[in-house]
Amino acid sequence: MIDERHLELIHGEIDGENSAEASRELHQALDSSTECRALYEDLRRVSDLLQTAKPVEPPRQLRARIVDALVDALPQSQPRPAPGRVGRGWLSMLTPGYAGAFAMGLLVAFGAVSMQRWAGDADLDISQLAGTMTQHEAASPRLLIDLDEISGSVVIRDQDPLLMVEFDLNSTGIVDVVVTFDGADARFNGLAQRQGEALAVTAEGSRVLIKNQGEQQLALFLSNPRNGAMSLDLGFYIDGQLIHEAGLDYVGQ
Amino acid sequence: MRDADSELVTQCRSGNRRAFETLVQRYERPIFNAAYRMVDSLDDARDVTQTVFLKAFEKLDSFDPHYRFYSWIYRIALNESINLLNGRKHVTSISEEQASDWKTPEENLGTSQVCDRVQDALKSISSEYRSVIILKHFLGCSYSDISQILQVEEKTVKSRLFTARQRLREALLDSELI
Repeated sequence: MIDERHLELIHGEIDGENSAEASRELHQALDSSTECRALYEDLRRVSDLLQTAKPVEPPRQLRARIVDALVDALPQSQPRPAPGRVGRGWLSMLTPGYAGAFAMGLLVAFGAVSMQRWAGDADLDISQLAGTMTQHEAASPRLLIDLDEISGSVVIRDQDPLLMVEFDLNSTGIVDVVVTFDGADARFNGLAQRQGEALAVTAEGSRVLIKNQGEQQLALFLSNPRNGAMSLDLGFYIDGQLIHEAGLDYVGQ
Repeated sequence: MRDADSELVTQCRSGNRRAFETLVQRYERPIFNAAYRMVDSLDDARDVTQTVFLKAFEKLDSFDPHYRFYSWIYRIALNESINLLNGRKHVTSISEEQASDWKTPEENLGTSQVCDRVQDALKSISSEYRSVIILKHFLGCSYSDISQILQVEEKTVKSRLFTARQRLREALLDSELI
């Protein structure tokens, strides 16, 4: 029969909770009692077997599901920005000075930006947007990317009459992100960057190519005058090889 | 890392959704694993994990920052798992024997025979004892942590762990792993 004290020492040792002194006391008991030693070895084996049960990986989409569900819950539970106060870094760019430049279809980006079709194409009164940019944030479709090569998020924010596609990405090397959008009246309307150094952003037709390296936060602005539904297809490529595909849908209003 | 949780919680409370996303990123894996060990189903573990984070977000205002965030969210995770198990008792119509053999292809492919037997042994002990084993062996909690999570005294934690381990030992003996 093993006494209470020795039982406590055995479990404490397995749990890593024994002091050095308690540990010494236990090992003296183990040396003098075969019963103590047998129990200790059995329980050690139980602990070792539990360690062999490898962690299970959560499904890839679980985090995105949680965040999406959280976004749905936001209007009831999260403080909203004060009226007229622009809450996000992107949006603070849309002060009247920026808005004027933006309305001319100006691309705001660092690095090489190639525009083949839309330069000077903006036809929107962007000045109306300042202060209204967070209205529909709660329903923003969101995609989370969690790959070894690239991670982060892509979010579509409805900034009537624009859609802002916000990229917050971090890649170890150069990853080409090809964004293809479809929507009856959708057109590329501009680009803004908050962080990072865009190697190149190229827009042609309904396709935009972003070369991502390191941490980048940038936004594509798509005109969507009728607030219609729009789908985004995203392809992630390294050296021309597709490593990941995903889609994101805006349901329209 | 855990010291930074309180800062993230403060940011969440002030409306910073990104801070909550960071907490999700940090605790998604341990909570999913704890839930899986409790409910023995990947699908149910996924649902439990999602519910845990949503409840945590909803109840964030009631979180006492003097306590550790992980203790608080692990408690929610165990409670949600136990709620699911309690609900499952009423709808189970197949025999226990059938249930133990009924595994998804993912489970069959993803776990070794030894891991399966360990999981079966865990499943064979009550949820009260399973909880302490999971907290100690899978989540690495101390007696003090477990005491806070289960809201019982440390001596009760020790007592439950002793009994839980003995029961687990018997189950593993039956499955010839010891």
